[in-house]
Amino acid sequence: MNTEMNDPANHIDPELLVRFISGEATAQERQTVDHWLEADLKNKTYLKELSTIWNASVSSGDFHPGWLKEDWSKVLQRIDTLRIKEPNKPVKQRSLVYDFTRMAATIILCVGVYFLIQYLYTRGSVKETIASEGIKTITLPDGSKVYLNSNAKLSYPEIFNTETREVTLEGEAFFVITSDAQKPFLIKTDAVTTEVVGTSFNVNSDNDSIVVTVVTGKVMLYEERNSAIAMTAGEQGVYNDGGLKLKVNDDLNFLSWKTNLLVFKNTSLSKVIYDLNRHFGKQITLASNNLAACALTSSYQNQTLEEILRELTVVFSIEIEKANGEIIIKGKGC
Amino acid sequence: MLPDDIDFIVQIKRGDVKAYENIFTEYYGALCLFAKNMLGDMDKARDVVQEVFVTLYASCQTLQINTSLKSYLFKCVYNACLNSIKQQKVYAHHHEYLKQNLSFVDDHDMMVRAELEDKIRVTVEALPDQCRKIFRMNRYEGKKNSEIASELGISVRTVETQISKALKVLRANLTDFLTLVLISLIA
Repeated sequence: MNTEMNDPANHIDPELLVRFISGEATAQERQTVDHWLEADLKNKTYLKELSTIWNASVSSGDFHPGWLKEDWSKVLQRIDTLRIKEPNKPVKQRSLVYDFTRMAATIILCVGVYFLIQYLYTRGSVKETIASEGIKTITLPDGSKVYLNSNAKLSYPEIFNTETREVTLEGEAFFVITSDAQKPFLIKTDAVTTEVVGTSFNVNSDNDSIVVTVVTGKVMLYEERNSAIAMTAGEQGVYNDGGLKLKVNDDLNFLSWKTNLLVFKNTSLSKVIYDLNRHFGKQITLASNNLAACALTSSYQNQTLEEILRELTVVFSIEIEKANGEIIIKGKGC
Repeated sequence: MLPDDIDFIVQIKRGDVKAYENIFTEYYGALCLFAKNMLGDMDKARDVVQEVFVTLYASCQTLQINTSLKSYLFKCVYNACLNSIKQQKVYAHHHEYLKQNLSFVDDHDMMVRAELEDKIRVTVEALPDQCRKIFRMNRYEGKKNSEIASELGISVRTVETQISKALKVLRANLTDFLTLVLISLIA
């Protein structure tokens, strides 16, 4: 910034300059300005700067600030349509970060000879189904049913071979497998093979890890480094870079995408919004940590997010704020 | 590329819509003013710039930006405007418009000009209420100082003082730009 001494503006009446630039100065006033301009090069530069701003400012009014929000919504709408059309990207955004580095790149699937022979010689033609428009139900050659979640992909043969029944899954699906002790049912995901006899369970291979949750029956989970775990109803097998682990399933809502039922039993609000985010594909966050302590016991069958949030505002005296596509929950806490 | 730019690119490639919105908010105004200078119509300009943002998002996987993100965006809009002009088959008319209304045809100069206009817009929006109102009435609504004075029930001198205040703030905020613009204008 110029010091007081050097500021050209000090030597002339600022209002006079304004009149001059606006073209509203009298002849005499214009003379005064001309003299001032002649007096010092700095004055000329100063006026030049003001004129540049003056001229450019007319156009600057052509853009209305309100358009930023309005036009962004239009762009966002079109971008969202693009995202839905893209295959192999989840429609319901289950994680906030799209992870493009799939496990498959780093782990070589070594299926035992037992599977390999069947795979190479006795497979018939392979069918591939992608659930591109929402949840899709597939009936397999043996009568087993598979419920594919949005954008999940299932590959299976027209006819199962003699030794095993084998399919390949990308994404998430719920399986109800007909019982056949002679022919184990195998589900191949990136690095893990799930073997079942007759049972119902959910396989989720969406994120970095592969999670198999058993509802009924018994399921065996193998991984290429020869570790295997057996799981029964209520148990969960998790595969990530730590290897294969057995967990008790504490996620009441892992099937909500299929059942449209959300159940909360003394569930902390942070887990509640995690499940809601997963189910509805939204971004709900808690404004403060006090809110995480709030525990909810309730269930919602086929209800919209709006309805559920409304109930929460009453139960916990909270406020819902919506900003930039995010939903923020504010309140004192519990 | 600036380190901030690289962060942005990475986030766009991961499909981070929030990051994309930040870029939109940062550059949309200037890009629209730029496009408007080329096309002569603000509504068309907005459409063109929105289209660029949508296309950019769709092709984010194959994005290779060697200059700054800002230059890249302006270049995209520049090309989109040229296409639009060609498509409308009114090239001759627009050629005349461009020749008459712009003292520079180089797209870099135009970018600087658009950025200047946008910076002015943002600065004006942040002016104190009375000052902003008066400045807008003069520059955006094309009213004379005497008209403004009678409309607001104040003296002409007050109007002039407010405008000169506005200019002072603008000049302070735009020092970088002014040097740039003056150099490219030369005369």
